[in-house]
Amino acid sequence: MKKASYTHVWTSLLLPVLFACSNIDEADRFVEIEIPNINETVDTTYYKKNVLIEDFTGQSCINCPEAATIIHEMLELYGEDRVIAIGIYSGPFGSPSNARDLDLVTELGTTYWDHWFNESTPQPIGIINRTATGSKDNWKKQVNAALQDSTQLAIQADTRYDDVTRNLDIQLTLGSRSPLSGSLQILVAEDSIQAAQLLPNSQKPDRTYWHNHVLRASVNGDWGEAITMTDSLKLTRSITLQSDWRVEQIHIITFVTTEDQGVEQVITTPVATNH
Amino acid sequence: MRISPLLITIPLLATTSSVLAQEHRVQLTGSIQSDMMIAPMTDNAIGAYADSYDNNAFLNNTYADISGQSKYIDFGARFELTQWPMPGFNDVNNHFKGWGLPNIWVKGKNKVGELTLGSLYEQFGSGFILRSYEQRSLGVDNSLMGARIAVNSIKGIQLKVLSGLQRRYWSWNPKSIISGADFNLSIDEWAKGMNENDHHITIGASWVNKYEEADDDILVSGNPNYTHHRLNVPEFVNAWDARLQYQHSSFSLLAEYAAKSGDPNSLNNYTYGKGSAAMISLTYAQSGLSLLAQAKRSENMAFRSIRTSSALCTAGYINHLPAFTLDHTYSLAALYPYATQMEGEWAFQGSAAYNFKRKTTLGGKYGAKIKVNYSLVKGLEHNKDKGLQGTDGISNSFFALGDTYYQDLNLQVDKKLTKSLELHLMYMYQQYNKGVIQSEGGNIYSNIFVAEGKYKFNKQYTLRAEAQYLGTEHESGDWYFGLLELSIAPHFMITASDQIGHTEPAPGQYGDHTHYYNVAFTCNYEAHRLMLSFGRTRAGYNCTGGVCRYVPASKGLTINYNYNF
Repeated sequence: MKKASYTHVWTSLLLPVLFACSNIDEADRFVEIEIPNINETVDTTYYKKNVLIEDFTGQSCINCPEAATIIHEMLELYGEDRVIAIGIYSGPFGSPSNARDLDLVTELGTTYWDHWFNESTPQPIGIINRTATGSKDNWKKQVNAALQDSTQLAIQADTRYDDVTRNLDIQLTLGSRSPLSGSLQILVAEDSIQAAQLLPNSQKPDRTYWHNHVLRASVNGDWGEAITMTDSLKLTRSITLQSDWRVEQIHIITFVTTEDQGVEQVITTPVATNH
Repeated sequence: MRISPLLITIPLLATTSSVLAQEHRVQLTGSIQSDMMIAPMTDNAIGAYADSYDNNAFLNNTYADISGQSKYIDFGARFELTQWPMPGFNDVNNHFKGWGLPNIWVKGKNKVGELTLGSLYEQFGSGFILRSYEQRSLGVDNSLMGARIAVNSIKGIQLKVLSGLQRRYWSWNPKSIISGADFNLSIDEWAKGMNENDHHITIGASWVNKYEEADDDILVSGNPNYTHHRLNVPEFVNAWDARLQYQHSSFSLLAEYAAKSGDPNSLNNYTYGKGSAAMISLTYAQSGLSLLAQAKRSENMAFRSIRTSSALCTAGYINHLPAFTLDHTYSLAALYPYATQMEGEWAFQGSAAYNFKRKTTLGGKYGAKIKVNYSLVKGLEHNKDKGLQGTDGISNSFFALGDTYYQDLNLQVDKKLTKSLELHLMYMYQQYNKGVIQSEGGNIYSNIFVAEGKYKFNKQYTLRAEAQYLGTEHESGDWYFGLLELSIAPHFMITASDQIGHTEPAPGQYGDHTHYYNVAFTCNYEAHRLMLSFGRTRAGYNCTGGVCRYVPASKGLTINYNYNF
């Protein structure tokens, strides 16, 4: 065999080796992970901490529907009581591309966006338990890690709604294993709002798109209220629902934050109507 | 990690001084560049907010380079100060904030070849698999910190081998190592007949390997078959490139093909399909006529040192894919610049230019030049659909074309009318798919007209004037631009400009007319250049070679200083 042919043979043999080192068959690409036990308490000292994901999204944001799909996947996987999402329509892509469409951006959402981000921040972007910020590609990993955490705080909320006055009372009971000082925030979110949304590969908005966990208002101020407790705290807060909010789709998101832990605990509560 | 200057400069100086003692002649060169903004102002009409910069009254990006060349040793270093970065460089994670000596290198050379230690800039072929470079206006510096050996002692053969860690802002990721080799052979150096008949052929081949630890927990999202799984990602990603360059007389041809092994990353939705890039480029130039025709197809060729880097972040690219669109210098022509879509695209470009000689019918007394360029970029068959995580992704037929991402046709004429007066005219038609390029909005169709004149009063005074118009029914409507520039040779220049358009208080809404005015005073003295300017800067994208950086609106006094020695 001539010299050039030997070189050709060795080169041909080497190239597949180089690529074989880096190819992974489809059957070997997925590794099953353990889902955090949603009912377990670590011991009598702590509770399992739920996870709040604040999704800074927008109706002109073509990557945001994919983020909503990821959130939906996490709610199904971990449970709607363990992962609580709120969609904060805000930022440069918050409003719909056509001014005639229903705009889900609120002043409150804009306040939150201006506080955490600036106009060069890409959307969608999320904040997990007020301790981690990330793009949608990282949410599942961040949420999975956050679900391992424990907390000293339990929250229970009962709602009473008056159809006539549209007044909603929220009775809160907080229980803590040790003294706690922090900030209590109560937000109103609404599901199943049909409004325009830009989708990938489409230049016109989809006006049949369903938006969930849409931030509507805060019950107790833009940044909540300071609380201090030794072991328990009861309080009642109220809000009058706006006429265009559908009470059957409203849920109340209650969470407490502390300086060192971010979100200490979060729960979601549907509205109990009083007929 | 920031490299302490002392850890490198002391042995560097010790090494160089002993060699220099033997070879006395050292040529030093360097530069200082400082871009500064004093007291950025709030201007609600254009969306500029002083508190975006932590209320800092002084912003600057400053770079100071020095390098030395001698017979056997070259060396260099660059000091950077971006602790209070200029607008467009202050992202939410403060990546650009910092100062230090991020670039330092030494090179030993002799007849056999060269050995470089420290910061490396390198490009293999057209950059499809490796391009490390610095582009300050974009905030790009993806140099490698490592070692490179270049051998060029054999006639017609160039061989390079390198390895290093890639710079990403102010750190080098020790968990990701880039290595590569590049080989180029000029065949005509060995075939005497070819050279004598003016046939020049060069073939090249390159290989790059990225090793990145697989310690990310990438949990599968959006794949209904695997809802509680993490991905097993490859630690080694290989890419290779082959090219042929042929030149004969006025004609040249470049054909290049590159491929990459499975490389799940944030941009391809963590799919495992292979990537590829193919390009062919033809040029012809003779007797005042120049022609260019080129085509490129790329698919899944985003090659990054950190697989989980945000898809929207421009940092951390190992390679570079050229845009095949012109980088326009006129303000309105650059209003909607194209950014290479790394997921995949087909790009075509054709241009023709002709110099009409003096004292001909079309050339007139002083000659004239006409140039026409057409660029077209289209998506692949399935545009930006990537497929489910963990799969091989979506397969695109090679020759199938998707949506139009960008196109522009521009015609330029240069004509000297009199001894003192020169004229440059340009017309451009542009289609810009904002939904693809900026992830929001639809197609923007524009007609752009530019007229630029330069009148030389005498040896000392020259006046340049520009008038531009962009007409469109989309986005925020029509734009106008005017500029006057007086040059007072040899040292001074005064410029005043205004760009007028509608604000956009909400997507799809037209606001009031807004003036983006600017006045500037420039002074050149020997190797020094100082420019002071005051005015408004519109929010937009600054792009070079298909890579773009978002620049927010700003208003204030800016100072730019350059010194070269």
